[in-house]
Amino acid sequence: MKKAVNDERASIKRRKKLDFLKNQLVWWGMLLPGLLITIIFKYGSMFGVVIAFEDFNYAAGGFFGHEWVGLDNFIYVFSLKDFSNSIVNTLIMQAWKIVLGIVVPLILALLINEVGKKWFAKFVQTTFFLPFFLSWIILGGIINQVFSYNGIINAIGSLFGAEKALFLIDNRYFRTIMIITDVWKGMGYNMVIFLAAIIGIDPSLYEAAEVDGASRIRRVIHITLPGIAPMVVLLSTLALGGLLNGNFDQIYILYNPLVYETGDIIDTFIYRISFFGNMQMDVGAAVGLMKSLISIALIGGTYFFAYKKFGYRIF
Amino acid sequence: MKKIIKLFAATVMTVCTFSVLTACKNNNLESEEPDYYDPEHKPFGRYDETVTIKGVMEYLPHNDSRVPSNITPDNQKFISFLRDELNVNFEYMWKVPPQQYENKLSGSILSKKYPDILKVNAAQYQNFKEKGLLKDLTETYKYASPEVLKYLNRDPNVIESLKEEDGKIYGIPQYNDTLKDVPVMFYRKDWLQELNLTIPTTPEELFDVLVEFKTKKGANAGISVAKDLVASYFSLDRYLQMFGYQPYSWVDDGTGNLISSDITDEAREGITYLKRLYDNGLLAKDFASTTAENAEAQLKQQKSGIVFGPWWTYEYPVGDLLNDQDWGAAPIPRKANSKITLDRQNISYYYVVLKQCKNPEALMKMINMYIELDGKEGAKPEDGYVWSWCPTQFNDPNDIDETFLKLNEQLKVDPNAENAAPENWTSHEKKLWGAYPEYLQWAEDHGSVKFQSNTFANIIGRVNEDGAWAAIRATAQDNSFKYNEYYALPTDGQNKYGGQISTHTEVYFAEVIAGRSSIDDKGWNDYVNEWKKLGGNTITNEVNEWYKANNKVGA
Repeated sequence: MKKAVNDERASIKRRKKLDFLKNQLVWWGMLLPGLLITIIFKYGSMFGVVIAFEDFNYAAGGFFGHEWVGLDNFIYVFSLKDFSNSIVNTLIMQAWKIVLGIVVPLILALLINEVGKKWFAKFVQTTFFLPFFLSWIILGGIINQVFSYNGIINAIGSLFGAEKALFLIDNRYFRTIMIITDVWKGMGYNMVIFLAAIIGIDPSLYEAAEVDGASRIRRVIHITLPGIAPMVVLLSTLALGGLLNGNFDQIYILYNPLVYETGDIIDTFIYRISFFGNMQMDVGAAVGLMKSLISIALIGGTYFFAYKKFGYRIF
Repeated sequence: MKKIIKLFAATVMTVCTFSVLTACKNNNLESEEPDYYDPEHKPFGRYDETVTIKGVMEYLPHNDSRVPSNITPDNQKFISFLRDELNVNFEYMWKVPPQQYENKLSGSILSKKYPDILKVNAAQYQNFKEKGLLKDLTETYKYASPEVLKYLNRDPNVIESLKEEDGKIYGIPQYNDTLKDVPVMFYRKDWLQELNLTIPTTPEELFDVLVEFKTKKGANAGISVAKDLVASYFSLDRYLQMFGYQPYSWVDDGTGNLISSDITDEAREGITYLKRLYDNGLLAKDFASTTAENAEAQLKQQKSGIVFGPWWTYEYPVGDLLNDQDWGAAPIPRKANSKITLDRQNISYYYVVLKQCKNPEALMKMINMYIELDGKEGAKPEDGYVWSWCPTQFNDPNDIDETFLKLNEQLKVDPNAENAAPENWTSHEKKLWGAYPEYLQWAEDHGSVKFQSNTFANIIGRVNEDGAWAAIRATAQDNSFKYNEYYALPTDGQNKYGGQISTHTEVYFAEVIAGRSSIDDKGWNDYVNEWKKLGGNTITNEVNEWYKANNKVGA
């Protein structure tokens, strides 16, 4: 009897196992194409970094058959005059862009959330989001006009007796203008994410707080902010990964030889250096690899920090 | 049932993925010697057996409404002409938009799927040649039709410079008349007349005219620098040519050695002059951040009285501004005894034949065909002929000069262009001739005919005896050129240090003009020393080494 039960159990187990396998097989099978594509086109193409260690010649093609030069490309980049300058510029501008890129949308989202009239909130939201959709080619032209010697900023300034300034060719102003315009362009995106997070907060919390007599400001500080804190941490962490990724489009369109000193970032510097003669893709790859490694370290570091310190898991 | 569907879907997807991945099979062809020989080298000789030639295409739509809508690159008239006349079956292996072309091509080369004929740039030409991928075209050149031969020999030095030491030649160059690089001065003729001034011929006279334009008309010169010295049609380099300085060239220093133009006295003089313009308010205050678009807007707003531009400035950006602004063209003013720096040669691209192709001569026959068909009956857009889709486009390097000469010759006997154009003219020349009577009407009274930007501006710029091309011809008359003697690929040093050095030069020049750096003896010497230290000396040595070994032309 016992044996029969055991047999019965074992066969059920086996069947279950088989069923499980069958089920799983289907899912794994469906996953396979996606996995293959990821492996081939994402991980496979990473193999291209070998050119960072080669004396690469693009017209000769292929990853092989070029002279292996080890770290020469890295050493070469660091030996270049002005490279350190471009790193400093990138760090300063990106640090400001990251901080303001979180703080400004956060404040805007909180303000819009408090607006009573829904149509007005929608209108403001759309207006702030609009520049996000425009490319730097278009915005570059507009900003160039606005800040030009005979542009609108100078016109307004001279109404109040200010002397006309050459904003875009003056090292005192260039960086600030780049930071402000970049934050302005991107603020709508993060703002919408924050607004979505705010909507996700349980309304009963607000109701309870209201019953307890909490003022609007108290409610923002004690309910809204803690409620969206994970989102703020997530966005900051992801943004930190871009600490070395200056905005090439923006800088390239707006800078000029007179502001290289304060405006030149790593990407524009490498672009100028690499594309002068034959394309120096090896040097570009070396810098790209370096930037990626630092970015991984930064993202990993902040992820770890956020987990240890606040217990937030991002993924 | 659900499970079966799932399983089926998964299997199908897996199979699809694998089949895509394995589809890239290799069809490597071994190189062989040509197996076709025609002792007479007939330019349009028809093959007895059909010859298949494979090419690749950088695809752009043609935008010509006259072409029937069912026409594709594969069934267009040129392809059927090749089949009917030459018995050549031309096939495209692939067609991609321009931005994907380079990638696709390197992919093809890597996987050894070679086309038969190919259009390549200088760097690719050099590399393919070094890798032994190209076929010797010495024999192929003998198939050139008289017309094509005439074009190829417009500047015999170009072909000569392509010949290897053993006399072999691996490409058919499409090059341009270097006169096309000569800058032209465009000026407001109406203002000049109104203010009773004469056309300036020296930098000093130009300065005086600019002062008059500035004070009486509120205009500046219309100069812009966008990102670097030689970037756009309003760039600084053309103004610097007044003193014989062209940025980033290599000129003979008088002792048989080459020296970078960027550290010559001519450069210093030119920059000093521009600084003087800036100090006197004759250059836009924010010239360094003025883009080509800004400068173009200044023309429209009547803020520019003088612009130095390329020969096609009448066509763009002046164009239909001519309806209410009168622009004249003249040779640029020059400092006494200074010479404009031109490139020795200007090769746009090379046609090459890949090693595995057995009929290299077909390339030349196809080029012959392209030239032969231009503007001929049966090869009109209406017939389904799309010139921009032809795999072997080829132009007369001297096309502009020829147009100028032919039309002016004809105008002498037929000043109102009443008769039809001669049959042997190109289609473009015939088009201009056809529009000439209307142009005359417009010139008489601007209100009477609508301005046709694609023909009137061409006539004014290329044909008129006071037009832009005429100004270039006038410039060319009195031994007014010297040459950029370095025309090989960038040297190792140029690849390595070129970007830094050019940045150094740009920054210093821009700062001098804007008054932020000094160009006195100390300032200039510091600049030159830094230039040398940044790698300039290395490059100078490399360039001179090349010059000593390759100086087949000139000198």
